[in-house]
Amino acid sequence: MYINSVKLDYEQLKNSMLKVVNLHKKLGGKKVINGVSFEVSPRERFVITGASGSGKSTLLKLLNRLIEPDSGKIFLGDMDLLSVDVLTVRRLLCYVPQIPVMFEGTVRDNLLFAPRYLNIPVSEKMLREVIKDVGLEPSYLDKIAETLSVGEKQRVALARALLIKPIYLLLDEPTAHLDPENTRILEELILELNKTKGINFIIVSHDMAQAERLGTRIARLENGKLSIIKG
Amino acid sequence: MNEIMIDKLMGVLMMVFVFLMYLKFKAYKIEKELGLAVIRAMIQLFAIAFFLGIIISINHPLYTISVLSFMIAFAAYIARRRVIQVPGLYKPAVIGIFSGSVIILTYSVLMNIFPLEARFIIPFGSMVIANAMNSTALALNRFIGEIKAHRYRIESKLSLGVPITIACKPHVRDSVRASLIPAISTLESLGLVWIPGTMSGMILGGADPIWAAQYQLFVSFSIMVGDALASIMAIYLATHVIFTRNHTFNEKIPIF
Repeated sequence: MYINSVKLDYEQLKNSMLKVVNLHKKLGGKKVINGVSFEVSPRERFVITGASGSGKSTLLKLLNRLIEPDSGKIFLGDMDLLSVDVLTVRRLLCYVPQIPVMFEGTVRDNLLFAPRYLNIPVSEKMLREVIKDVGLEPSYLDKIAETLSVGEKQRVALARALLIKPIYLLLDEPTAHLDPENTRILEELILELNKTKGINFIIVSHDMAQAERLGTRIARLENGKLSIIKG
Repeated sequence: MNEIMIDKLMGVLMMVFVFLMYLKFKAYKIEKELGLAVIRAMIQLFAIAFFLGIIISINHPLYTISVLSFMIAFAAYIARRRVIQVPGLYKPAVIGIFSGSVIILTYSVLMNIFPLEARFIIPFGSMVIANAMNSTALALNRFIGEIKAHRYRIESKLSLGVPITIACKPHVRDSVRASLIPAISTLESLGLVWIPGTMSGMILGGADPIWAAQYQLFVSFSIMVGDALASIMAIYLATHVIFTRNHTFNEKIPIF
């Protein structure tokens, strides 16, 4: 498989370990990420907890390269993700932001947005499957995305990311804006996708109870340092 | 003729003075600003008239081009000032106004519509540059506003692996549209609501109205094309200031 002229063995990458080595990032003069190192194995659900403003979102954005690190290394298998094309990295480690922002048009437009520009063939059948995978009815495809509830938007955002077939899905506080019922539905969905579709997750959450429910391993980010607290 | 004009100018200035007194009496608190603008306009216009008189009498291409270059640089400065909160936009504004104006001016010189003589090209150039300045300021202002308002939408698109050009496409489109609204409104009202400067001037000078209309159309179309080129170029370059080569927001640009 080629992404942006980079030849990738998708199946091999899917079974590759993500390795972060001594990552540093300063923002506004403050060391937000200060020598963070960790590894995530395939099929894992790695949850990063920490207080608000501890740099959890920054860490996810560094992995997706929405923010460039000052120093350090990120490897997916043998591939140095800081030396390959940034757009390729974003496809491999796809970031789903905390606020589920919908794009212009219908849910279908939202789902097709990235595949259209990235030349990923998506059939109607695939669209229906992915929308079901995230727990919505296919009739949602023709709804105007902006009119959905926050919980539904969050699921569309997840489906949007799933369609570009990332190796790791990076979820930033996925239930921060959801009520308890929608939180439960989304958590079940994450567990289901991990179990049945083999999707690897790195999840940021400030809620320790949620981390316990979702994580196969849990780490805590504090003062720019990451420490493993479970697993 | 000159004396008659000065008399009439004094007459109209008296009217302005009475109007300013009225504003002061009613405490509208705008008389100071308006009064200063009137004085400034007089000084600026007489100064440029005096200066143009010298340039026209010398009529050397080097001086003519220097005057136009100064106009472009100053126009870019004003355009950037209107987008004051974002540093680094002077260059996009200069290059935008420069490319929009120079293409139009070069075409008019090559086609011998307005030859490279100070008398012709400086007034025409000033119209093209001033309008390019306004459209560039409008475009950049709108673009910054769009980026601020849709930060998370853009970030969400980028996080899926699409390039900046795609993530910003609707915002570039809306900004260019907004910058062209004044030019389109002007074209729509042309002849119906107002007879613009070039045509009025030529008719007052005794030219055939049909001939004057042709010149006016050339000027109006040139202004519109200049506006479009300037704003598109300025936004294109502003994108490279606001975002990095790695398709991320430039941390050094304090936009939010």
